[in-house]
Amino acid sequence: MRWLNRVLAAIFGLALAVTGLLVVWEVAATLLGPSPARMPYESWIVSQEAFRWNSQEVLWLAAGLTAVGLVLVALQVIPRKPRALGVALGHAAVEIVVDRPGLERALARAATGVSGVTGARTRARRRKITTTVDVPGGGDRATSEAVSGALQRALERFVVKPSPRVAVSSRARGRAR
Amino acid sequence: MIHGQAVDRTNRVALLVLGLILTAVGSYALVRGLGVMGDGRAADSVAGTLLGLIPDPEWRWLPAMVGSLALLLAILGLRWVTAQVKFPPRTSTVTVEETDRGTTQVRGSAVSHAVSTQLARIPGTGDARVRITSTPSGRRADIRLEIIDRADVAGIIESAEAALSQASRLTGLGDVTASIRLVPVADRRVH
Repeated sequence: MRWLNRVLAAIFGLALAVTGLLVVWEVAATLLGPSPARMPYESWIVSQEAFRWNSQEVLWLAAGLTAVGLVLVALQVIPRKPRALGVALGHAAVEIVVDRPGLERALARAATGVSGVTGARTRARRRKITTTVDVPGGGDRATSEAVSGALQRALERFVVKPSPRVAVSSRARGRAR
Repeated sequence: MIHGQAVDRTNRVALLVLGLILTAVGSYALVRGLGVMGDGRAADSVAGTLLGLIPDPEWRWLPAMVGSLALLLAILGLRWVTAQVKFPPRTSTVTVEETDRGTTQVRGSAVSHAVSTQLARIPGTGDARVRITSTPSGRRADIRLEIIDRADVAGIIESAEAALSQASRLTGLGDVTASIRLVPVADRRVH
């Protein structure tokens, strides 16, 4: 998503720069007197007179602009996975974070270390950590509590701030070890 | 804040504003074209409507004002484009000592290597990568440090800060702000 935004920013930035420079060029040409470099905007305006608000071309253009605008807005408001989570250690001159994908894998390993768990998948967000564990025959309350404890212990080592809530769910999958 | 994060935040805000503007303009054109504001207004000329937005076409300062605004937008656009590919330069040399008899300098890459070697020696750590950059607010070290699952994280951070402080003192880096990214890895990945 960040790379898509970078590409979009480069495209829109370039379009803005080119349009701005063309207008500056045109204004300068107007102020300095008639010159062959001027764009034929008078004839453009005359040719555009045919377009009415209710003409098909204008309606399609309007629909396109609305669609592009809505897609852009949606892309920006969708919550993103954090790249890293803050750690409440260090001092003012040293910012310490823990890599989110690395933390997810570490928590999954911690959950897999619990007896009866054959696999685990973790999703870490700033305020919530969700872990799904694979337990042959389905998990019971004791397994969930054991996994939750293992995750809490692993998290305490990193002193993640703000302290996220831990949610554990289990599914009947895998073979008993 | 790391340079890339600042650019990402700016992109997000700017693209959101742009998206809202495009949605507003497109929706207005759709509403007007579909006759919601009256059939007469739907049949108006688009170019005529847009030209009608100019309050006084004969105003003598209008071209200068439009030109200045366009120049400002062009500069903003160019800065926005260059921000996507511009990163703070790596520190090429660090002056350790400067006397009447001469100057002692160390290559920036050698300092980065020395710090990463120090960090990788801390028990419980794996690979360490250090990038030292010069920013307008001073020197900055971006560190990526692998740590094994059962390592003492608080102890590692303390040792890492000490190693960084020692390296900056020995090499004359001076005050360095640092960003340490801890990357948890399985024990078997650490050599």
